[in-house]
Amino acid sequence: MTRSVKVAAVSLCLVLGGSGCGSFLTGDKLSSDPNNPSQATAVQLFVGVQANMFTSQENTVAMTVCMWMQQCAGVGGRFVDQYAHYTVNEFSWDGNWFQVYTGGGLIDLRKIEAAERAAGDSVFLGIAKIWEAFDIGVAADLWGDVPYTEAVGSAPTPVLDNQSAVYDSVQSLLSQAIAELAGPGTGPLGNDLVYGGDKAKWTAAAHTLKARFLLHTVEGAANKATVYGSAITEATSGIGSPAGDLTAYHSTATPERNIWYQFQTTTFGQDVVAGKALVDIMNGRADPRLPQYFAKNSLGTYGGEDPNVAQPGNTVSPLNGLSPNVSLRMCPTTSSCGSFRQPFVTYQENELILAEAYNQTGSDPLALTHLNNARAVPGLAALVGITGAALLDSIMTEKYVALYQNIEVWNDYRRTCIPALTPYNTGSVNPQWRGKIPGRLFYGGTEMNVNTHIPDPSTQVATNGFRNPNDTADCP
Amino acid sequence: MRPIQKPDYGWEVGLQWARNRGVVISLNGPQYVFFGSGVAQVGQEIGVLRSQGYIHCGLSDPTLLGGAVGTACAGAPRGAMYIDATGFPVTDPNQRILSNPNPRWTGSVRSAFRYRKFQISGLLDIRHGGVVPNDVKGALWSYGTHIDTQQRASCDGTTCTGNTKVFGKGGWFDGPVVGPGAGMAVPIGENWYRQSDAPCPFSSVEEACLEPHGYVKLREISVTYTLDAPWVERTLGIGSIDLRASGRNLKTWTKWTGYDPETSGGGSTDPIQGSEYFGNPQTRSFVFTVTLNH
Repeated sequence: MTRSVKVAAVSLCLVLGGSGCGSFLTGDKLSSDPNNPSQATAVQLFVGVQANMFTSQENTVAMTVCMWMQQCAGVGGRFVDQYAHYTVNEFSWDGNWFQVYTGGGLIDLRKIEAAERAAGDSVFLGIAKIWEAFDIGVAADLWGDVPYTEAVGSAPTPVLDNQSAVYDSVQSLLSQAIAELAGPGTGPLGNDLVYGGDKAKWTAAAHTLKARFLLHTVEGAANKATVYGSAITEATSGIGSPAGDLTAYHSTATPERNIWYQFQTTTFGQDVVAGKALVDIMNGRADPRLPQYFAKNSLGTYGGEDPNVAQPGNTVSPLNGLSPNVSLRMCPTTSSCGSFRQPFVTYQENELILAEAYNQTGSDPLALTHLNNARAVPGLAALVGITGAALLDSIMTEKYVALYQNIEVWNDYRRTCIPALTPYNTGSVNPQWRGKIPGRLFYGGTEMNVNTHIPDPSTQVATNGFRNPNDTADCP
Repeated sequence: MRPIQKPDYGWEVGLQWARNRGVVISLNGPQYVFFGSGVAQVGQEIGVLRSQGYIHCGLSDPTLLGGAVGTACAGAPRGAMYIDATGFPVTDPNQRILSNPNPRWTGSVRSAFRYRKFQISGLLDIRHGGVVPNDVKGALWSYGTHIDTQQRASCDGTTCTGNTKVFGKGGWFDGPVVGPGAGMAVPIGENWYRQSDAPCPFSSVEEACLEPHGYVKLREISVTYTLDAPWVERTLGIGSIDLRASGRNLKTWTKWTGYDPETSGGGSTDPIQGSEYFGNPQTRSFVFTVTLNH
């Protein structure tokens, strides 16, 4: 009714001569088309952000890390195998670079934050800030110095902020988020695909993330004990049980399936297989997670490919086989393939952060307790009587197994060099890698094309041994 | 041109020649803009191929490999290929303009002879110049199904023996070479065709697959006979009948080793006649035509 009156009024005043009609030409359903919205709501953006975060944690970078950390291996001589052999360039992760900022990245997160700040929903604001911290923190893990302070706004060529400054921002974002989660507001409720708007779970996850990102600064820290002490403080308030794990949402619906599973269904799916380094550790202790992680090889057992010494094909496990030889990560049940909720930040990680931090600050009994807490999740027997470097080795090895397919494994390796991995060194591996596993990713080529602050790949290779600033020393 | 025109016989010749040269003047910001399978970059022709190649003196950053490239390249000719201590070239991490796919000129020759009621005509298409990667070759190298891999070193997974080549010599990346491994004979087998950066489409390092894709094609030959004897009009009530037999895409002369220098990896919408990557070649066809002239 309002609409027809307005339309009539507009028609009338247009007929009468057009002056003084301004107020009739604007307003609901006149200046905006309800069938063709020009702006997304905060909730719509938030769902997009989550989808983007899930995929960016599961796609090309995750597969690269899995292969470089030798939890997976590339075979078949094609793209996957080339990545595994460090044949990579500025376009190898161009898409992942975009995902940090656009299409559900930092730009949309800032819009959500602005909207929720205006709406007074402190809980929603806090959750958005946790995603922002996760997003930009992981970017700093992968690329080191990244655009952040100038990334959203009008700067045509945003400067690279120092990695350490980005990590500082991550800590302060998470602190703000924890405070805001205790404030007013209903939050995203069911639109939160991870925790369904559960404030307590988000608060715990924020503490675990604080501990995780603190550890990323410890290698070059002047006072390591202080950093470890802060990590202990945060992780003590962190995720307290596997029910609090931060996991992706996936379902069997085609566009919502787990990205690892989606890749398995492509022509190149079988080019990524189990890695020998991980499978050997798991075989050595009859790890109950083997059927979750991998499918059986044609001998009916589990085995992995070694990038340096080709293994007989019948000994190598695929990530997923033909039904019924499936892995539970790919197919939790035969009718629910692709619905596995990939874990990103977990109780086990939290316990192992505590274990490492206690071990590194001279509290081995406590470290052992937390290691055994983590081992209890998959049902592994408690370890006894290990201390010092041997304990650290057990802790990091446990983390290497528990965090399979998680990008965080690479951060742990770059910091501790555990487990001992032999970099790919056969064939004609590029001497620019100096016989090491590459220590970071090339900046995205599209960004490099238009942002003069991004150095050439040759300069990136020559800088700090192609390692990020927080990674002060090479692994063997 | 019609050099001969007589009532009973005649000869026509048609010639076409075209060239298209351009240079990108300004892009208002970015270093380059994608243009089909190529790029537009200031100072270059539009559509040039921007990709990775091997380290070459004067083309690559001399500080590469801790400055070893600059040292080896001192006094070396521009374009000399850097050979690592292993005897193999090294991939340059920086992209550069690798090749220009645009032909220097295109042309065609058309000719027709007429003798009484017979007419024979033919069309020759020519494309001169232009270099693009043959990515089918690169993929088949990796699979071990390309004819180049018939001659190969025998590899046991870690070492290879036999089928040795020296980079820069003997038809193997001919040209000047520098570096600690220059002149070294190395086995070429699976280590090169599959485990190195040579399989271009998978490694995105296109240098090893570059080939000139100019050609001369016998596009068409046709023979026509015109039936205009009185009985045609008397019995069929029409003026005349043309009987025509023609064949298209009969023969290609080219240095391109793929199946057709005219395929384009970017598909028919790609403005650049680009790389070959499992696209369809031109088909050869034979056409018989009967034309009834009223």
